[in-house]
Amino acid sequence: MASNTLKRVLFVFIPLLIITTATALAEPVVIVNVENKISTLSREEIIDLFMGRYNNFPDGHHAQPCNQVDNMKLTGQFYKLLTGKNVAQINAYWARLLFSGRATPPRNFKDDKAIIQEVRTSPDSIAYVDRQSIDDTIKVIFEFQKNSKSPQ
Amino acid sequence: MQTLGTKNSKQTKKHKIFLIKVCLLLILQPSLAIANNFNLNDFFMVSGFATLGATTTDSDELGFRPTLYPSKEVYAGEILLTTDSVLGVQLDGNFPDSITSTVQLVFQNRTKYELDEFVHLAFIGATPAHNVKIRLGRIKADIYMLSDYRDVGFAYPWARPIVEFYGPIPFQHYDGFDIRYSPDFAGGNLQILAFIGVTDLNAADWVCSKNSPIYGVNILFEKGNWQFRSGLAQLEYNDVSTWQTVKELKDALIEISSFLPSAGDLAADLDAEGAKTTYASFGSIYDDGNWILQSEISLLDTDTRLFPSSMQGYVSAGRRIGAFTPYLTYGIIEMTTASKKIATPSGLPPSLVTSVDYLYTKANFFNSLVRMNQQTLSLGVRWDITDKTDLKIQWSHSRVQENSEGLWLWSDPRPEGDRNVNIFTINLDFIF
Repeated sequence: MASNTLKRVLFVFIPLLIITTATALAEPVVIVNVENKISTLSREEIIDLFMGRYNNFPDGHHAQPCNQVDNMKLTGQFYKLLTGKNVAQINAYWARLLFSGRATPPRNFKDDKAIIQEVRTSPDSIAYVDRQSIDDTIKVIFEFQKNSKSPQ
Repeated sequence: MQTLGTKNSKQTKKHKIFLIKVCLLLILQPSLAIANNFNLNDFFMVSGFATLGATTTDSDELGFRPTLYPSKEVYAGEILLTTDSVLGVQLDGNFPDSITSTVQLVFQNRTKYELDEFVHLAFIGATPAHNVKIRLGRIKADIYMLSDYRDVGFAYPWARPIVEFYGPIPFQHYDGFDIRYSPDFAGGNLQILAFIGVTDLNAADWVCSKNSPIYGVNILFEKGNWQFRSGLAQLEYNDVSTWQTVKELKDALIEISSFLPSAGDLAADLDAEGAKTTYASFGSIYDDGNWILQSEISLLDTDTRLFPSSMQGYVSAGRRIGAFTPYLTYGIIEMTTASKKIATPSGLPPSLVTSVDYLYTKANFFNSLVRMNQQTLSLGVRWDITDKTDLKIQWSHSRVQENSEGLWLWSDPRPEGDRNVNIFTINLDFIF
């Protein structure tokens, strides 16, 4: 009886543990279309694009930043690593820019799959996805661990 | 009950036609997009902000309202749900070649409304170079740091922008043009903004101005956790209308000024036509994700006593502890135009004494009505319930000097002596 309960508990908790660990280990990387001539961007340049300061890549062509809304853990991690701020703070920042009419926030996509689909077809897109989702149909231009430490 | 005098000039009509043109252009744009087989969701975004609030006070003499805009005030024993409550809905369009369009409608606590007032933004934007943005249409006036988002509660820590600083500005947007240049500078982000347009004023229930020219420049510099802003703007009062009583009073004073020169001075003090106000401001914000410190100071220089010169400022400190941000703010406004009282001349024929004294007393009274000398200390907490919702609880203590309660409303008799007022607020802010 006791061992059955234990098995059930393990059956439920081990996958849960794996899922949680996997999510916790989600590592955002910044991607663009393979045709994009930019091969790397600095963290400050990514901040400029994702925080609405500039609408264009440093070479002058239009940039369309993309957010993902289903995996808020990845989104939270991306902004924390990028700016040191949490999602509520980022939303408050964007509320200032959006409702004063100064800039429009990144476009929203569902998940890694939808984002990668968008980046494959749109030469303007710049987005973050989990490292595990990347393939050679898109180009990675920034990795947090490689490029810089968290600002905090 | 007295009502505001209104004027309908040719300029007002021009102004309306301009707005209609802008709106038509915005409406036409989606149909152009459809004609070219664009996916609407790729080009349009609907968003908004809202605050649901409750405010009460302990004063039955001074009625609180957050700005000079004609709006319902709150007295002791009442809980008012409209003080900060607001709903804003925005439609943004993004089109090829970095052309954008934005329309924002805002519904809030106002006791006098013209349809025009609902439209806070209606402009077309373009990016002619990667660090240059231009906008044409209805734009929010960028006078102080929070001026162009002062209704968006979710965007700042407090229940409302500091009343001593933001309360005295009786306009929010203008119809015109702005250009923003954002070069890299000293390893940070610099933005230089220049704007020009016309705006309508609606102040203190008894002074209105239509199509007043407004222009200005400001500089914003952001680096790391710091943001600095310095601005200079000028407003010229045009097509000024006042309460009928004030108008009649002014006419009567002008009539008697032929034999009483001081009556002419009093009449001039009740006139704002062609007068100018200059706003010079400096502000900074430090936000490292944990501490949020903010301060602004401004000098307001005018040449009409209907809107006296003043200096105002505030400091604010908040500390984020998880989802909670307790904060403390202090705001102050002091008039720099001295109060003026012209005594009724002596030696008048007995038959005139009563009526002249009445006119002088009334004129002196109106001149003191818009004076604002007060300080407020506020203590509050913001709780980020979700990524898009917060709850704020704020207690404010205002000390208002005698004959300087211009930001408040009061019922007769006018309060004598300084007053201390406590204001309690609970606000729920959303963005969507």
